[in-house]
Amino acid sequence: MDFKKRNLAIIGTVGLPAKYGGFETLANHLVENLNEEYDMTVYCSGKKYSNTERLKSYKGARLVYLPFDANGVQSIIYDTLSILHSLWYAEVLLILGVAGAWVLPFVKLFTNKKIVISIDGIEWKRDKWSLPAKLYLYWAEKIAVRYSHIDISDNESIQDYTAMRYGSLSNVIEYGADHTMQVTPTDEDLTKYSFLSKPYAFKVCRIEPENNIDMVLKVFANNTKYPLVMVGNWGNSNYGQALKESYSNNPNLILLDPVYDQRSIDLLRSNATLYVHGHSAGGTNPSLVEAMYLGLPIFAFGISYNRTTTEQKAKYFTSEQELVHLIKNVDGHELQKLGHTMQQIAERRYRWSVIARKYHAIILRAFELDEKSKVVPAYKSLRPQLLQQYEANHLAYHNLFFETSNN
Amino acid sequence: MIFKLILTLLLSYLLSAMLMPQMRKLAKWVDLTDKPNIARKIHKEPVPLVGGIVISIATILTLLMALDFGLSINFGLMPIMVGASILLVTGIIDDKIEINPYKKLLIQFCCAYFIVESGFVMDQFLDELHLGTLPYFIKKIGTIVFIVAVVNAYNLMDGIDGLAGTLFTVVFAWLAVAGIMMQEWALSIVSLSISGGLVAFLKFNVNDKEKVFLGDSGSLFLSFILVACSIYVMNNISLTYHKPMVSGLMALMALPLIDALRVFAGRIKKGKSPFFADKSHIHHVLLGIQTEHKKVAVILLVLSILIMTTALIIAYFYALIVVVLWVLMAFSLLMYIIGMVDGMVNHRAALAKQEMRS
Repeated sequence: MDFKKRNLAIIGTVGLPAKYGGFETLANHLVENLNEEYDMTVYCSGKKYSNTERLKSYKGARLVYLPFDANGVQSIIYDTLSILHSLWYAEVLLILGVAGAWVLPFVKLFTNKKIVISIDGIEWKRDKWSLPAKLYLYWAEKIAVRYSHIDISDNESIQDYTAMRYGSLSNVIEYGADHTMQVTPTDEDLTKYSFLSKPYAFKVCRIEPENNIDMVLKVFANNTKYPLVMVGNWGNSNYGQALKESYSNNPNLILLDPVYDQRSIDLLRSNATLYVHGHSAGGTNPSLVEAMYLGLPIFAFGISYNRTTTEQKAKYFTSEQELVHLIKNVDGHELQKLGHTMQQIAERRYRWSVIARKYHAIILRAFELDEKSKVVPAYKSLRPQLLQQYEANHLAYHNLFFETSNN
Repeated sequence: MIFKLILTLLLSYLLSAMLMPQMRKLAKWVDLTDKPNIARKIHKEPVPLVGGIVISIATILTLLMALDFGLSINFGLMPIMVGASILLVTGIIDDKIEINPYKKLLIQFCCAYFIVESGFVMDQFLDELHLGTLPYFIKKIGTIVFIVAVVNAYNLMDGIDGLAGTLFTVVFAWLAVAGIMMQEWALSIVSLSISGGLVAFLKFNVNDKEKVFLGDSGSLFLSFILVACSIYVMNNISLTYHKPMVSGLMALMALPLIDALRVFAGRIKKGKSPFFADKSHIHHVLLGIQTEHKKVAVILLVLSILIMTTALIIAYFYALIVVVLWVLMAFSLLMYIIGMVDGMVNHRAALAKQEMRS
């Protein structure tokens, strides 16, 4: 077929082949699934790939290395330079994260590139950032939403938030999970991890206060129905070290250091009886989606993001007492049913082919649309008296989908 | 002379420090206190509103003692002190039994009118900004508006412990330096006697056990003297050290003024009266990210002094108009950031509500 493929630049990931988190896995699967439709270029951080590791292309995508970190303060420079470089050839800029958003007004004004930006979670709210960083992210997000052709959020609750803050409609695309697999333990595994032969609860996360680690550890330390196996970067912070020190002697808790090899982590979680998800930070968390795909019954922290990810069908807790109550009262049969429900949701929504197709559709839309759809109807700006005059009083009290009612 | 200045500062400090506990008791007895109010006030116990009264007594007594009337006094100290005293009385009554705000405003306009009539008009200062050809009555009106604006802006800054007190102390200290530079000793003596009182006041203001507030009385009294003295300094720009002195003064006084403008604009944008009291002042916004009053006061002080330093550097190289523009720009940027902090805090609260809905 003789048609020229569109040039797409993927900006803002650490790079390919994926060794790190959610965005890199996403880039990997976009490259796999969409290379028929686009000529793709992926920007990679030279800091994370040594000269010997660097590839010219990966699965058909061209790789460009820039000598900056993709995370932290340097991500501003990294994203900015990536955006500027991509202006030479790309027609669509797929930007993951808002760090380089400050150049977008110029890009939108002086070029006809299509800008599709994924704003990730609500980064500015997270406690791990310092105040200046929070302010920058808060501002950058505004610029990103205002000066992109299409913005993507990874969770419907974030869509509510952008509607509330900007009055425009964001597009929801979550993450895929079908790179995880069911692993049957071998004898060797069983000797290495003796807990695999019995039921256990599992949790994997970064060791940060926002993931409610304290709460979960406290509950499982005093509850002997299931032991808890928890994987995380305990050594990275004082917070983690202190937690590990105070809980490592508890026979009911097995605290493991991070596992980067896909089979090992899948081994640990696919054989668990129960998955505990304590994340409270904004967005769809890849680890939750992956647990769902593996068919694990989920006890999740009852925040809106987790509720939308699990379609309100998991079990939720917001306090120690509620978690204790769940552990005590949910029996094996119910757990099995729960796991099955979770798997069905994940099969339907969280497959990379589905996700990639959504990205493709969004990019096509970017070429058709010039303006974002507004979510606030015109009557919202009318005075109550005027509404009353036209007997449309009810409109004054009508809550839009993103508004919380006051009663 | 320097020895005399130091003693002025000391005397006024000692007087205030001595009077404050006594006046606290008296204030409780006559019930001149600020009562906790859930909507806007942050403290819990009723707090005596005597800071301003004590400072004014200490200042006036010290002045009577220290001002050698053989000293050539180039500026009308009498109208300033009388005007300030009128506002002090207005403030005391307002603290005790709220006065209608429009009446209060009218009294301020009257006082402003009288000191403008007695010669405090910003004319040489406007000359320096190439606005000298304006008709004289416009200059007079402008000065009156400026006086009333400063008086009210400082009044609005008096929202958290230590803030108004430190801002006043710093700017009066600067005026004292300006007086020394200009060899205008009366100005220095007035400024130092007020500074002494303020330092004593601050000690009580940030103390949780023996807390006192400045009160409307205090902020009106102090800001009236401040604005009159600063008009005097701004006008004497032909003197040697004029430019840095005036520049520093402008930078120090800009924070309350520009914040008041921001708050007014914000209220009008929301469709409310600009005089509708709410929690949108710069210190309220900062309390959203830093709950400790003293730290908020320190942050604002440091920001002010930082901008003042840059203004001084610019004053060294460029004309006064450039300094004015720079100060306006720097504070506008600061206000933009403050607006952003405000947005962030509000969005976080709205988000918390949204997040927990099930």
